[in-house]
Amino acid sequence: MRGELSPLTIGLLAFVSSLCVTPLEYPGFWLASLGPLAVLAPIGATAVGLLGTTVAMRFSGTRPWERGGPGVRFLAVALAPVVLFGAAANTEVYAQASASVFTVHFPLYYPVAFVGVASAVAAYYGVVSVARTISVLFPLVATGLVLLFAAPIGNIDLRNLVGPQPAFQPTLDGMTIASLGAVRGFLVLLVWGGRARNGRAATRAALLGVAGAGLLVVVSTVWPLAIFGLPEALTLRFPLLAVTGSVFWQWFPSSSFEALTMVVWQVVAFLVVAEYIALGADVLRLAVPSLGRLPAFALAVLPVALASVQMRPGAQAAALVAFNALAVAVGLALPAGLLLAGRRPADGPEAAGVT
Amino acid sequence: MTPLHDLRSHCERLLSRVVANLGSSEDRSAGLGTPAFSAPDAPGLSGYDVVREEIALRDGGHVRLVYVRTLIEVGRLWHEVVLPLATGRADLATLVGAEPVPDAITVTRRLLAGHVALWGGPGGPTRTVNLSAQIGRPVGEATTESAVSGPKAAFVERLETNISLIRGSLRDPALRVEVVIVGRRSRTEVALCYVDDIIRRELLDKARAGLEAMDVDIVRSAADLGSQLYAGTWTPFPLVEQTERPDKVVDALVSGRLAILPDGSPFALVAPTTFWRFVEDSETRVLGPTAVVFARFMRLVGLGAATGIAGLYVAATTATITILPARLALAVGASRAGVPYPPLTETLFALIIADVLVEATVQASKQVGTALTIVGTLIIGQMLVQARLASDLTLVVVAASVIGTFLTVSPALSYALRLWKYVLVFAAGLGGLSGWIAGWLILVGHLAGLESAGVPYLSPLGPVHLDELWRYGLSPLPPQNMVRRPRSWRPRDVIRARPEKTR
Repeated sequence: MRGELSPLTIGLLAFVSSLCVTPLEYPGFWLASLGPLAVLAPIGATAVGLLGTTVAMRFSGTRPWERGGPGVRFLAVALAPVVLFGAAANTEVYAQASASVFTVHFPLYYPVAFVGVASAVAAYYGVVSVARTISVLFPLVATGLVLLFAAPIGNIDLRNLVGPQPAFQPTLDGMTIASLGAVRGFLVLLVWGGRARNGRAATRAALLGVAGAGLLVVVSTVWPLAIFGLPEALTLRFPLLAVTGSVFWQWFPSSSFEALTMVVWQVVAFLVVAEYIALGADVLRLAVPSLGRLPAFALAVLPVALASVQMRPGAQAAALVAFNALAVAVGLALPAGLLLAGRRPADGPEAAGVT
Repeated sequence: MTPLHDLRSHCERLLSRVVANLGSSEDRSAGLGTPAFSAPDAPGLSGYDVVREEIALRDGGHVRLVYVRTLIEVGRLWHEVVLPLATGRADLATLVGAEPVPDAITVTRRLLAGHVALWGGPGGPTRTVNLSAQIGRPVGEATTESAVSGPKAAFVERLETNISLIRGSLRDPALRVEVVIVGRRSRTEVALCYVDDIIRRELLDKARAGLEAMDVDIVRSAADLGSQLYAGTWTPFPLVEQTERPDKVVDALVSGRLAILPDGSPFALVAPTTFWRFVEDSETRVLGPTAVVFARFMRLVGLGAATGIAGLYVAATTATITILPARLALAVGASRAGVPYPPLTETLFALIIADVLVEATVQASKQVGTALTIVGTLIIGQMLVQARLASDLTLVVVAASVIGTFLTVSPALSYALRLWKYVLVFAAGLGGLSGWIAGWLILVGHLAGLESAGVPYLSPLGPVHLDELWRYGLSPLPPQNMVRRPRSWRPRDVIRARPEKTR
């Protein structure tokens, strides 16, 4: 993959690799409900997606999107709803977490609106602009995460981790769908953080992202157990919020670290949703000339409506299945679409601003 | 009679025959020499200061001249034009500084630039001589960007003086100055300054093309020019830098940026720029690298606090008061006791009063401004608290917010942040801390979407240029360690210094 990749391609690569963390977070669920094959499906899809995209780009050039034709139309129909579903799902997930702890006096649509509007504004300027926004906010997110995990260290009781059953797996299951957005967001930030504009850098960033997201999952699992012990740790709906909520510093301007958690989470949700909206809109825009405005509009609205139903409390299983389906769909559709788009000489104009 | 006496008497005779204010061009057409073009006079040019005269030559011929009296130096007219022609020392062809004119429109334009047009008599077609008066104030100290220990000179309204100030500090043969005429009616000279072997060609070509294509009546100010040249996405944030200090322009030129200086304006435009440039000043550069880092940090924190503190106060006192420590929450509650309005209304009320006072102070003269300050702080502020229309804590927050917005040297950025302050207050009133954060995110998303002359507005943080971020933003190292020019400007010659040779 010589030459510079288009921001759209890198963004979609980030999306594909972000799906890898789905089984990482919910091994218990997958094993219990759908069996080992279900666990492997997103991993396989991600591997196929990354490998297939890498191979496909050798044949299609670095910027196949501008070419148009059946490949792009296929990509638009196959990918745009999936990516937009991801945007809507992440918004919903954040809103649920926020409403349960932070914006308790507000209806659910308030946090949905805040994240939705802010992300739409950022997405309006395009995928490159979203990449720049991520670059600007990444230090804030990284600092926030370090603080979040460092602050509760004083509350850790190592005896909680010693015993006949450490129960990491039940805690992982107990994290619920809501933590998915933050973990995946971290990965997306690394991949899409403005430093990946060629294939090698994108792959390196993707691997770093998977490692970072994995570490985040491990720490998010160990900390609730170490602080609350069993069986309290298993009853928490948002373990990370509970962990940070246990820290009280009266000399600090904010008494509870929950506020910081929500700040970090809101920033991550904003970035992830902005990226997904921008990617979805860009892919959809490519297809408008051949699809027509009305079908394109339907493709944009349907996944959002679907997400609002899927993500309601109590619909965890359905949501996870939906995410699993996303992984498979994107992992297969992206390389297929790229191959369909055909070979195109690498024109290599600078992916403006993505350096 | 001595030759000198002979000359004087000749001139007196000549002056007695001068016909001043000849009237319309039709009256003058008969009996004159044939000019090189069809409209020898300046058609459409009239007024009390438009002078049309005739010089009687020794050989009995005449030279006619037109000029705008208020634009030229009359003494020079006498010594450099009238005497040489009247005494026969020169004719139109040999007169020092006389330039031929291709057409009547050029005659008019040159007349309005302080030239004198001459035609008739021996020496051929119409010519003009530049006798423009050096009107303007002397170079003084900068008023909007004051300096304590840095260079103090500031630009003036005369373009030539401003260019000489730049050339005086940058004696580089690669420094280029191009002049483009902008404004159908104002015919303003706009200078384009750059260092030829550093600047990015695309940046230069676009600026040149933009200036040449600009179709406006007049150029009111440098800011006016900048907004038209780099207009793009709507934004309240300044996309070009405006400065009145030559040292800042020189610094920009050697970094690979472009300076645009319109005649008649004491400000230069510098493009491209980034958001971070507005939190710097050349003063800190003089004070040393540690001071630079400290000053930048304090300015950034101050600007951020000024923009967000009012909204954060509203967020913390309405929906999300639980985030405050108990003692602080009690103190806030005690401060607000008796205030009949919710925090959003109260804060908006105080902010609007404060901003009205700021506007009045900025517009008023110095003496009145002092009085306004006293009225604002002592009377209105105190009365607001005593009448329980606002809590004392609210006034403290609003005062900090107002003061902080002046940490930038750019009035445009100050206005933009003051505007965004209201957005954040509204967002906080709607959704507490969550809404406040959303307001900030929208701001960052908006800023990341902006570009100044093709350079991302948030560079070098978005996109990330780590080396530049460190060397030009965070590093307390001395300037000689800044080996490369900032990557954001994409200069052609990237090497700024060679430390091994310096040592």
